[in-house]
Amino acid sequence: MKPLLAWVGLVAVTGLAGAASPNVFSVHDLDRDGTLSRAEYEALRAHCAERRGERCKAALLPFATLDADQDGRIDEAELLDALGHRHRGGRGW
Amino acid sequence: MDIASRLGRRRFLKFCAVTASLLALPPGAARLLAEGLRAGRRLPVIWLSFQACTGCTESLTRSAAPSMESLLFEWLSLDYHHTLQAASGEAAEAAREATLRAHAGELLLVVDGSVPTALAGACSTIAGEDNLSLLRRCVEAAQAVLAVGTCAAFGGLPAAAPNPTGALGVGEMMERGLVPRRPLVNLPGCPPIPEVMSAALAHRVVFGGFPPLDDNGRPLAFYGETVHERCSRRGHFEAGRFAKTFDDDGARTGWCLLELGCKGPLTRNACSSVRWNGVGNPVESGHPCLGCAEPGFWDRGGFYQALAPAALPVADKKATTVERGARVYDSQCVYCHDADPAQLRALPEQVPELLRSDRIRAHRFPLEEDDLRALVDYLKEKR
Repeated sequence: MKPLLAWVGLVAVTGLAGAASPNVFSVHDLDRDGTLSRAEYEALRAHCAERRGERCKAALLPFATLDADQDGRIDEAELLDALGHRHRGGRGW
Repeated sequence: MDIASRLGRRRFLKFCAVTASLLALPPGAARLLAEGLRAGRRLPVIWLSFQACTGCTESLTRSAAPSMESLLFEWLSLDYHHTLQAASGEAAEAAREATLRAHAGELLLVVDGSVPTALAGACSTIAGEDNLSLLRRCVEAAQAVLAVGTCAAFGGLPAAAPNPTGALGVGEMMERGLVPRRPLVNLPGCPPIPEVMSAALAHRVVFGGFPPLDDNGRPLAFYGETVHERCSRRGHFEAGRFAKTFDDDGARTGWCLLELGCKGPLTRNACSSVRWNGVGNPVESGHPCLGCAEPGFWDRGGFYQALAPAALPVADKKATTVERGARVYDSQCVYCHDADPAQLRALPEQVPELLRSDRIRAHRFPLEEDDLRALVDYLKEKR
């Protein structure tokens, strides 16, 4: 029983902490570290293709475009910067 | 010392990851690319320039870090390139002939510039040999050919009417039987994007073939979409906001350049997604797309002549509000929310208020009112 209770407690704490974390910006951030890794982004692409078809997948920007500092992870600022660049003709907002 | 050691392991792996991503290769391909390039087999290459402005070479050698030409030279043995090589005159020609003999059937031939076929080839000669004769001998010894730039791919500017030199691209010369047939990839653009060149070369070196091509022999990974489809000004096109002159408020604000002659809707190239040196492209710099990656672009009308409405993609004319909402969701929302809009927790009618509230960091993004309305309609339909 004790291991079960410990597991339930861990899940609850992890879940609450994750939900309240100011760093998590995407439901696709599976490890909840505040960034999207290449693997998480590939999973996002696969998810889009599965749920919405290839058109949705094709609309996604390439990982290399989003990962401006080339550190292998997309953070929130990089995502906003890339979307803003795309939306406002490179002028930001 | 292998390529990874010379370039730095981190830089090398980044290059492989970016190249695999650009080529839309499956997961794990970056590792295969790294292993293939690290294997150290340097492919012999002869690069021929004919009726060209040297812009293609300039594009390649002036690319940003990681320097593409440094990477290319590590896995290729560039045995002849009359702009870049140190040797000149008879020594340069001797180097090319030695490569042709030593690597017949296995070398890669890169061509930039179109080839004059009129006047028995008298329009352009190198070391006394006309361009067509030189190309024919080199293609004969090649395992495959890369036509780099619009001139080599489709004839380009030298082939513009009335085409006094009888200029042709490599593909058409193969079609006409003027040179032997070999596997050919066209990488048009004036100039082509450096990453497109390096990715096609890396694919050939590692996998022994070219990536999937379209009807014009261009890699689908780079030429599968139009410049318009991923254009940073696309939102303004959708909203019907067009710059009327180059110095009006619309042009300064980044509105669509369609009425100033942009050929983006009919031009397939990766300018909007790859960008030059990762920084920008002509449209983002305020100039309409000239359509330089398309066959015959010089003869398709004035650069500043607006496309006829009938020439625009049908899908854009018939886009419904719901389709527009779907585009907004696909281009903005799926990065953070479930790809299935039905899973969105907020009610559709709450979305505009939430987006305008500035309470959520990632929503500090001013969608146009028309986009917002379209998004709400789309979300309602999907509930």
